[in-house]
Amino acid sequence: MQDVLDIENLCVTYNDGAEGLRGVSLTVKPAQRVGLIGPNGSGKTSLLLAIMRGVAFTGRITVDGIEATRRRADEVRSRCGMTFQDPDDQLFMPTLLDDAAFGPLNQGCDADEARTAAKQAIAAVALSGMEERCAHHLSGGQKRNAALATILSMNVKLLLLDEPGASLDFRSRRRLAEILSGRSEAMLLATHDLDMVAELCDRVIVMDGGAIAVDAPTDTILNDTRLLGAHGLA
Amino acid sequence: MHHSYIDRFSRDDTPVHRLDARVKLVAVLAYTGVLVSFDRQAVSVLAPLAVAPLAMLWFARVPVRFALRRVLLLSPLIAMLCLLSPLYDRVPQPVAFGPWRFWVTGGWLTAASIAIKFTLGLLALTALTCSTPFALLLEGMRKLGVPRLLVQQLAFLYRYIFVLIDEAMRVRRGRDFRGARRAPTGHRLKAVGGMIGALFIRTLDRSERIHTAMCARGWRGESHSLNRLCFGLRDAIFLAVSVVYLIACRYLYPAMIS
Repeated sequence: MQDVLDIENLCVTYNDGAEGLRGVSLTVKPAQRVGLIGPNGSGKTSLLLAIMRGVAFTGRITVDGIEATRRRADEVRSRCGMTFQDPDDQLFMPTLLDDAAFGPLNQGCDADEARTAAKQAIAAVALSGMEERCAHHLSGGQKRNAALATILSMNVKLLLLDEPGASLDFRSRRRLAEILSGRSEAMLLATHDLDMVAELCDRVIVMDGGAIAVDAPTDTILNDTRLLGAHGLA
Repeated sequence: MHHSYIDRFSRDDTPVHRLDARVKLVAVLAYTGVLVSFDRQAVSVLAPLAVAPLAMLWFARVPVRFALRRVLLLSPLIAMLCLLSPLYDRVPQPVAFGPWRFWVTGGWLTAASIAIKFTLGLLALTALTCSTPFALLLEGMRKLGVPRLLVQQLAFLYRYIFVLIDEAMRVRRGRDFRGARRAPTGHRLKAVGGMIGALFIRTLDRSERIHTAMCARGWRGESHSLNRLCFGLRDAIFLAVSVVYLIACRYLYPAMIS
């Protein structure tokens, strides 16, 4: 079966000269959930942004068989759904329903299809009844779930989640893990939450200094306290 | 700070709330046009124009006190103009009020006219925003052909102005908690400069992240909507009544009292 994500020798250098990524190569199979862990500034967010062509890069990224060139960026984006660290960046429409329908409408759905997809996604994250609310009136946990709903409403092959459990309490984190464990899309989960990684992912990539330090099954990595300590994770 | 400040009461369910946003928008715009078309010293002829906003507020179950408080909040903008008018126009004018006849200067008449027009215009605007969720109002504007860019900017303003205000408040709290209130004025001003700079940078950063988030969900510069507006019989009736009412206010009533 074709890999849903194929990255070869990916490098990202920011305008100030800082190296975000150095020669990253990896593949993700359909429905595979991969945890992306590493200290702050290790390149997790840069990697997710590069996949969406949110930053300039060198190397090669292929999503669902489509190379992420400048010309085909929109096609790649229509196959990925990404949530950002700060949900306020993700929720930019006047109401939650508008926000959840934004992606499907851009994917070419008509208004009725988009509304149905949006309502289903909102229900999936347990926010039914809040469709007409503005993001400003949601709590922190609700905003996280709402941000997730904005990509679950889209028909995508790959979910890119940047710190989805950050600043959530125990109950909200549990609910988020339940929602994610029920999804069939492939997933790249960038997080510091090792419990969530243990629960959701069968493979973990440790990043440090913009490069992949280790890529191995979850148990192998999470049981290796020396390795975790060496990368500032324990 | 919350959005309810702008469109409080807009989620109620009354006959006014159920009207199509486009119809209300057009009616309020036409109302404002008629209001400002009167002579600069018109006072008594404006009386019938008070009926529409008050009726809209009443039917929409928006407390008049709330609307008047909003007028009061914005009144400093117009107060200067009202207070300066009597200084410039001192020509006495005869005024009839029921059985009474008296003389006032033209400046005071202009001031009264400006104050009345301002109050009525704001009451109508409050009735519109309190009976229409902002999202529907934006959709109405889009459908009425208001430039896409302007509607998008309003949508972003509505979404992020409060985020920005909250951020500014957090920055100020951070400053105050470190004893800034006791600092010498020079230090405090320096801190304010830093705060404004930090907020500006944060806003720029956020706008870039939002743009990335929009592109990540397939945005290509076009805005689509969910088509929630529906023009029906009751909207047609409201529109017809509004037209008749505004014609009567503009032409019939002034002819009657002159």
